[in-house]
Amino acid sequence: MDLFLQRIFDGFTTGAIYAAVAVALVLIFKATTLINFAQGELAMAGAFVGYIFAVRSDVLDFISEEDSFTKTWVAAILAMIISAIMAMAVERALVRPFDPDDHLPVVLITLGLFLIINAVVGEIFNYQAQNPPMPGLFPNDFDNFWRIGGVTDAEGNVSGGARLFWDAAGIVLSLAAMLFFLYLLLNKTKMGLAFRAVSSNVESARLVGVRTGRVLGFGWALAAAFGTLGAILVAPRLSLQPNMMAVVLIYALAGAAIGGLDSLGGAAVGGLIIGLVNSVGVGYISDWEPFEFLRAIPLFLSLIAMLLTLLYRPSGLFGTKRVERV
Amino acid sequence: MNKPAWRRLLALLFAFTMVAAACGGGDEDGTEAGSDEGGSDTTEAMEDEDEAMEDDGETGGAVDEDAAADALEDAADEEASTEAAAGSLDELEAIWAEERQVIIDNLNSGEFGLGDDGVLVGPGGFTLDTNSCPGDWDNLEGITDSSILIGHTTAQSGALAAYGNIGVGEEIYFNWKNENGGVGGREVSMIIKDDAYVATQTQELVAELLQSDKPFAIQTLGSPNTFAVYNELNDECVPQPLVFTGHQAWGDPVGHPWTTGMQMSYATEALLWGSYIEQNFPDGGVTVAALVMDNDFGLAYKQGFEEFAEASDIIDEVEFVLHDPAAATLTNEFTTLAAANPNVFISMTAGNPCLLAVQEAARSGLTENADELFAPSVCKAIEAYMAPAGDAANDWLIFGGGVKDNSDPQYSDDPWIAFVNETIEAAGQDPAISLFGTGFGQAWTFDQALQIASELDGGLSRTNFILALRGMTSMTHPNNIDGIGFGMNGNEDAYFIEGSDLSRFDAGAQTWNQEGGIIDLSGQSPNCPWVAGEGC
Repeated sequence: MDLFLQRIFDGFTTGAIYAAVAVALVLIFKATTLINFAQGELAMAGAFVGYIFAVRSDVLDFISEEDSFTKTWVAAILAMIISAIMAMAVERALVRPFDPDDHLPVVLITLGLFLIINAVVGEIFNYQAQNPPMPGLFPNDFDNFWRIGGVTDAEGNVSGGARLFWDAAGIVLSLAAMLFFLYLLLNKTKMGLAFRAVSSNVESARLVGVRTGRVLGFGWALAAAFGTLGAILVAPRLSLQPNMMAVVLIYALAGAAIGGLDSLGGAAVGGLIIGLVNSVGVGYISDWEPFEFLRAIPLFLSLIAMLLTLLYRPSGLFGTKRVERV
Repeated sequence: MNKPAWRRLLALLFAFTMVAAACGGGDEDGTEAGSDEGGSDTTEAMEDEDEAMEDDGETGGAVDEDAAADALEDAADEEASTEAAAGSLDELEAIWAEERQVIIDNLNSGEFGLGDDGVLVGPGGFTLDTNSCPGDWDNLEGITDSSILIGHTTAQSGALAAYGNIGVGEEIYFNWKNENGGVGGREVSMIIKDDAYVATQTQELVAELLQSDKPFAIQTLGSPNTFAVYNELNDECVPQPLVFTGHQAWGDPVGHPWTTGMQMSYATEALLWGSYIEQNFPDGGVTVAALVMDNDFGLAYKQGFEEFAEASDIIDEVEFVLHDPAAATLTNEFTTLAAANPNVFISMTAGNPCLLAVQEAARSGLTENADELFAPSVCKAIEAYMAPAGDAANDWLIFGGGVKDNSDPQYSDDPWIAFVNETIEAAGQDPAISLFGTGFGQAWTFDQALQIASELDGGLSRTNFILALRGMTSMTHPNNIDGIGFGMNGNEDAYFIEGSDLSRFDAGAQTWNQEGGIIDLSGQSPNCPWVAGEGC
């Protein structure tokens, strides 16, 4: 039971990481019907910006050393703002000049961006994990966890049981807060209304006076900001280095496809499903000898989950069904 | 559910089963380099595997088990050396010059060298027939009177991109060397190509180097990558010196005379882990859990330790958990490992997973029960893998392969390490990146071999270079801890380093504290004519 519970906790922890990136992917997909393959790398670059503010520069030294969480949160917010501006600039300079109906050039641009951002950050910071490490937004010492179950010996020492780490709970709660904020932003503000109009139909939105270019830039900015927050949340667990988001992007894509590429909540659920498939699914199925290989190729089961979902719900679990008049 | 959907589902399940059958089967007929084991095994389940290896009583490329156990016991009784290193780089250079001269005199004695019959004869029974080289093969390719061109493939992108720092370190060393007169008046230049640690890319890049750049020698990084090209480079008679991997297969001077490794073999390291467990857990009943990187590198460790564990009365069970080399997290893997409640945990991984393993071992609770935790020698880099883990890195053990970590403060007064760090800094790089220091260690050996080869009859050539490497019987390697032997001797000794330190990490002082003396196994590793799917 302890093991099962631990795998559930693991699934939610890693799933929340995938979900954060999946939500960012869906934000751009909703605006442009494009997958931004550079999303993970934009988030990673944003995390490095946060790292500079939190650790490498003295800009935030006015905040007391003892109040390290405040400093890290301020650094994260600054990084989100800078990432948003950078993403808007990228969208304006590299994406908007191309015909939005011709997806291939833009997809190639995002793939190019993936490589360029990774190489530039690697050149500046090296591919070695950063030391000192990225501080956490939540307490993340190795004894910062709630133990569920376990055995107490005669001396009162507790061992075993399932561990729910505070930072893992923080990541999941942050994801929930992020979704709630996005819900408010998209449903209760004018810009949100414009965003939804562009998501629904770019041409119609343009005809009724929505400045679509600005809205698309807003979508990129929002995705970059939330991607950055996600990357900063998980950096202490993954260790901050330029390749930390590359594999996460693959799982996030699978999560977004499962949840529905045009559903923010669906993307979050999809990410969590992928996390659970990896922890619970791989954890138990791989105990069966013919499927031991899954431990070395956990992606395989995620892809099976994605294929099964798309087989029966081509638009994903929460995606909008496409209905065409014939 | 409609009928077509059922059919699609059945097709999917069928495909899944086929993949499972293909991947999860035994490894009795593997044809690829390396092994093709499944994701997890216990010793009980493995008893009927690798019978050929058991029949031979060999431990694939590693030293004899008893010899390793004796050496480990002897080392444990000794004190760690406190002898100060030579006072300056000049003093070291004087020592190296003397050692080089001894080697040169031996190799120029008339017994050795490339004969008129096209056969290169070296010490220790080494022979190399150049008549089987391609018709257009040139013994002097890649060298002019003023230059030496070295090809180098490495990972500069992808999950293990940090290892690209080794090549950068090597280049910084050679740039320094060039500024100080070069090697025998020749400037050394390197062409570094990024294979992202993908073996098929290594093949393409090596083909490109051979066809276009035509370097004097080609170095490769990574076990799968080196496996991917070592047959071709040997067929083409192109030196593949000092590859950046410790796979035991690089000790094959008969079958692959143009390829040499440098570091302690993974098989020997696996044997040392086993010997340590036997000596320190005499009551037996030991459960070992091991995290294994799923490629030729990690599987070499696994195979070596698996063979030891099968024959051991002390080790009851081994839980191997393989991981994807590109894995972003190891959380799930460590939940499985911790559930085995191991007495000993061994990390058989590399790159950033070295750090993740230290962190996740603490996070998963594995450290609550485990009495000892081992990091592999390739993770001996404080700034990269131990320091970021904080207190979780405390007390980890390592058979460190006898090398100095240039980010370890205990070597700050060492003249070689001081030179390494100053030169790295002068090149505008960060000396805290240990792998630059590793590159210096490799480059130093390359440099010595080039200097020796330049003084041999006929001067610098590919065959003289191989002769210099195979005949470099003993030198004082500045990047090695005092007492670690360094040398090869033709077919009799095909491994440069066959000894190790046993060190324990002190997270407070951020240093590796050596426990006992040096485990000296010089000259004891049998050669390893590697057979895919079987081993040595």
